[in-house]
Amino acid sequence: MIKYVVKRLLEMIPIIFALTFVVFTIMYFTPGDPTAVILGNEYTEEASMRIKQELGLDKPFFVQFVRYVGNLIRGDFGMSYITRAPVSEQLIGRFPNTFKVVAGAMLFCVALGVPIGVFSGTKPYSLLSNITMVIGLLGVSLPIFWLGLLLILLFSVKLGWLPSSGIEGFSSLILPSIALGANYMANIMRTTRSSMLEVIRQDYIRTAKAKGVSQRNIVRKHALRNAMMPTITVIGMNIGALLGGVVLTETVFSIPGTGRLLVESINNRDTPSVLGCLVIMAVCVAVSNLIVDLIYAYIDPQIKSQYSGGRG
Amino acid sequence: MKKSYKGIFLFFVLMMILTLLGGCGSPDEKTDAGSGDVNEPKAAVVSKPEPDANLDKDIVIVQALDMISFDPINTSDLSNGYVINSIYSKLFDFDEDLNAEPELVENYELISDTEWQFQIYKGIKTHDGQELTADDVVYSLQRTQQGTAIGALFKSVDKISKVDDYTINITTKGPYPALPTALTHQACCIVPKHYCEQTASADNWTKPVGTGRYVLKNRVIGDSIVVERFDDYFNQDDKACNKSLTFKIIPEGSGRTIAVETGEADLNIVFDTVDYERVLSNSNVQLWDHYSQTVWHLGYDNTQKWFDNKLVRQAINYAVDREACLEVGHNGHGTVVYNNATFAPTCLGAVENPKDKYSYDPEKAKELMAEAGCPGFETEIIVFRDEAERIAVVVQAYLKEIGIDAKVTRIENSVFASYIVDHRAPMFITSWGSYWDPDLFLSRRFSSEGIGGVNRTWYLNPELDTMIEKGRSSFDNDVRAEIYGEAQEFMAEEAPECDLYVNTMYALANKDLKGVEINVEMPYHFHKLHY
Amino acid sequence: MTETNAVRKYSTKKEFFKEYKKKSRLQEIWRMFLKNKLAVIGLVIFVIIVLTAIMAPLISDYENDAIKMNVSERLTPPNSQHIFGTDEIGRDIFARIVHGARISLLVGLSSVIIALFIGGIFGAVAGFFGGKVDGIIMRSMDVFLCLPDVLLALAIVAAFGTSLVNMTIAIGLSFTPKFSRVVRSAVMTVRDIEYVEAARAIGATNSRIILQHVLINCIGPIIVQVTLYVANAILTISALSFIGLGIKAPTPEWGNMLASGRAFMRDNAYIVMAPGFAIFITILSLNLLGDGLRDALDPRLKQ
Repeated sequence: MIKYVVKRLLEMIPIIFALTFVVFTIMYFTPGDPTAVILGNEYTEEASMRIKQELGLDKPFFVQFVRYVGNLIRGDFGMSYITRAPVSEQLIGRFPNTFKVVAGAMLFCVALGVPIGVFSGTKPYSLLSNITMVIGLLGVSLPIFWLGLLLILLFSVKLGWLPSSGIEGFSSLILPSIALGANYMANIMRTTRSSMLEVIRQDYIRTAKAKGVSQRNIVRKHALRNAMMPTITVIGMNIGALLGGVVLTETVFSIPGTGRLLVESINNRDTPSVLGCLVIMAVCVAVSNLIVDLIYAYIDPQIKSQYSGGRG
Repeated sequence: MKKSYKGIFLFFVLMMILTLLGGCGSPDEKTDAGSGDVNEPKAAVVSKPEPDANLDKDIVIVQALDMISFDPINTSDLSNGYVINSIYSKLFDFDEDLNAEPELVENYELISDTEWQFQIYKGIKTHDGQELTADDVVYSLQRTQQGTAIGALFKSVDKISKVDDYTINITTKGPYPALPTALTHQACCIVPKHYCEQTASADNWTKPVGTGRYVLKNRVIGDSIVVERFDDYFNQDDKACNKSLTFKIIPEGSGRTIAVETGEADLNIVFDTVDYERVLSNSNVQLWDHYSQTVWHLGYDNTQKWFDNKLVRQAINYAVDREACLEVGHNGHGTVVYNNATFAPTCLGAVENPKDKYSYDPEKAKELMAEAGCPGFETEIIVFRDEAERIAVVVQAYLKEIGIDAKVTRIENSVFASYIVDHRAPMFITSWGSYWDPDLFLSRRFSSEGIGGVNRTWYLNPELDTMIEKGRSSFDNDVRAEIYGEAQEFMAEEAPECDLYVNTMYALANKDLKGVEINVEMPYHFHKLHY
Repeated sequence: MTETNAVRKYSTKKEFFKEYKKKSRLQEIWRMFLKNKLAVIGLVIFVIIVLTAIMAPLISDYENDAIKMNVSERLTPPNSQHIFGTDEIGRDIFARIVHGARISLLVGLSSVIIALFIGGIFGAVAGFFGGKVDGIIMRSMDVFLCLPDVLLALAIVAAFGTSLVNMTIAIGLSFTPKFSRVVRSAVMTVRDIEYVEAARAIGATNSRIILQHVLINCIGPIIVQVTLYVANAILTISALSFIGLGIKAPTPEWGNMLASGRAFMRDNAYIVMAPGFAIFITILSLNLLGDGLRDALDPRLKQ
């Protein structure tokens, strides 16, 4: 197992490296003079030249890239053009908020989506199951930002139960988590339901039933583990989408996280911060994919035994 | 199975549509209790705490934009001033009308028309425990003089020198009656020399040290800034009436109102007038108001093609209906101004409508465009605030009528200066807080002294420079008012920018919060807030 | 159908199409599709939206209703004259929704076409040749897949600015990796089928084989993906506009209508209702349509 983990970890490095390259390349071609952003009021030709030299902006593209990656390895994301503070400091300040929202959304998706999916999969003709299907259908089509506004209107403005912005305390996490998680909850629910339906029809379940195992035990001991595989895949695939959606959630709920930092930095033409946000989010996606793969391997004995062959 | 779930599906869709229609049907419904019991806004006045007041509370203040830098000479942005005025102190603080009132200065005198002497208190402690002396003041003000944020305000200042450890001498090139007022500018915050030298070399301003009423405790960029009471503040009679201030940034207007309504925050210093009616009927909050000298204006880069043509500039001034801008920008809470030199109606010598020009007249605007031979053109309006963005959409529509096709671009406030420097802001909409004394804004905004600073329109004219010089050289306000009247008529002809309106200043507070003060530019004196 | 038959029959493009579009097959798909009532609802809604977009100028005047402000009528709740009310500067929300449909559909469709074109080429080449080519192409696509597509689109927009064309390209490029995957797997499933072998045997060039035979045979799954990704693209464009990095005022776009109406929603909830619902219903219809098409085109997938 450790060998597998190490192998997957090593595979991550070139991907992150390549990704940094892509993002760096895109940002490199941003038009406009970055020294004008840095200097603002104090812009002069000489000052501009001096800063270019200091930051190595006068060097060719590849030299700049190598330098950036070199610093990145040491945890140095460069200096923000605007605040003149290290980007890493900003990221450390902001990332926990993003993490809270994503974790909240994740929890919401899994804690609601899986049980409901399992239940409606085992009882496909019940009213609840039908309601589930419908919510699932509508849920995947709801835009995060509109849902967010509707939630604010209902729970903050009309009812006054929950705060509409900020990130202090548990209560302010509820609405953002729901807004961000709704799409994925619907997705997880549908996937769990259909894989549950499929598993339930398998021969070994029928055998178990014939042997007189109770419905409850069938679900718990036999069906669940197998039905979970597609669900975990869906959860894994959605982490990336969650991190994309967090940009919107943070905008709607005024949460000072990485997503809003990204948007602010884009508006500020603060290239080092933009790069930092994108790199950190990409690393998150890569890491969470890794975690999902590991859980996958843990649950599925077939993969566990195959790991030496590696996965594509 | 299929059938029933389709039924449910249709049911849901129907429900949603009904909800939407329902939501549409009752827009005027107010949820707050106590309707009919309207709380008129109160005029904010200077006050002293009662003897039984609680002076040990943490006060949460919400504002719209993040601050920019702890280096005072870096920017004159208001959002920045809120915080750095708490951390640093100045020779003079400003009062309700932005006039000077001594802070660090114990007494001062005008030795001759061009020489001032200021004596500071003894035993002023910095946050890191050192004593503030004339050396620090001289160093700090010399730095201010070189910076661009203040620029023209200090142009007449010739020499800043130390007389003894507690006395500073400032000489000016000519008579400069507004010097004390200039010293209230946030760029004149005194930064202790030892700290400044070490910080400036590392270019790391994240841990400021000053002599102000508060010490910086924590900052999360884009989210909040927390400052704590500095117990060794030199003026023990006037130290902070609260334990700490938390400045929270909530960009969304209603979000800020809700924060005060729910008690999450104590004071909203950037009140969005969209919620005006609502807060009046809410007995948990109190709205405070004050007349304003904040002039919302449409500026344009006078060096760029077509904007360098006086007739086109005049056409723009005729084309825009200022009432509509006020209605959309601040829901009608303010007064329109017909001015081209950022004179608020309460400034010295302000003329209501110089030469009686620029009431909304699209026909006249079209004529002027034709006269200028301008076939129309494409341009861009730069904004960085919600209100400005709304005004921009209105302005955009009016400009289209006369053939100017403007794109609205929203940026962050911190890069606005670089857009100006780069000539990347052909048009822009923002606000300007005018001092009562026109000398303090005319020269900065419309002469070479302000280039690279706040002369965002890049407007230069030797004739105006002469008038500014003339206005500065007298200590008699009647004479000065007359000169500034002429300047406004001259500017009306020149139309270097298009002033739109001044918006009433509001602050929304918890009903029990005391010590709310507002000046003509913004709520201020947060050290007086208490319960 | 024997191997030799296939060679003769499909050796020209025209005949191929004729054969492919054999009535019975299409009819069968259509029948399958019609059985799925939800999919039909989706189709009907989507057709209505498309028609609305096409006929927008007939329904309401762009300059006078959707663009021109009317401050005296600002924030009017829905009434007989303005069925969705007016916005913060007095424009008719209904007119803006109708014209907004054009932008959404235009950007949605064209960005997916870009993605399909570029992704299709990469995917087809990778799937057809396999081996090293496949490895290189797919590895580089995997890199892009690590970045959520909203973020990738954001990065591109950040670098190149926010014009309509840039947005379309940004969204198109951000979907490219996904399409290359879809096309690749579709190509891989058909590439070893007899008629392709046969075409190769009679000396058809590779590009010809890919274009004529393989791609046309995997058109089914591609159509399904296109439907779903148009939905995705429409969502992305309104999302970008919502955060202020997409379509700018005064152009009516659903996302930017939500963003600018937001400040007024506390007292005028209707202002965010119609634009949000427009996005929602469009995406819902495309999702239903896509699901229905998938079931109809590949009956095996249906439970």
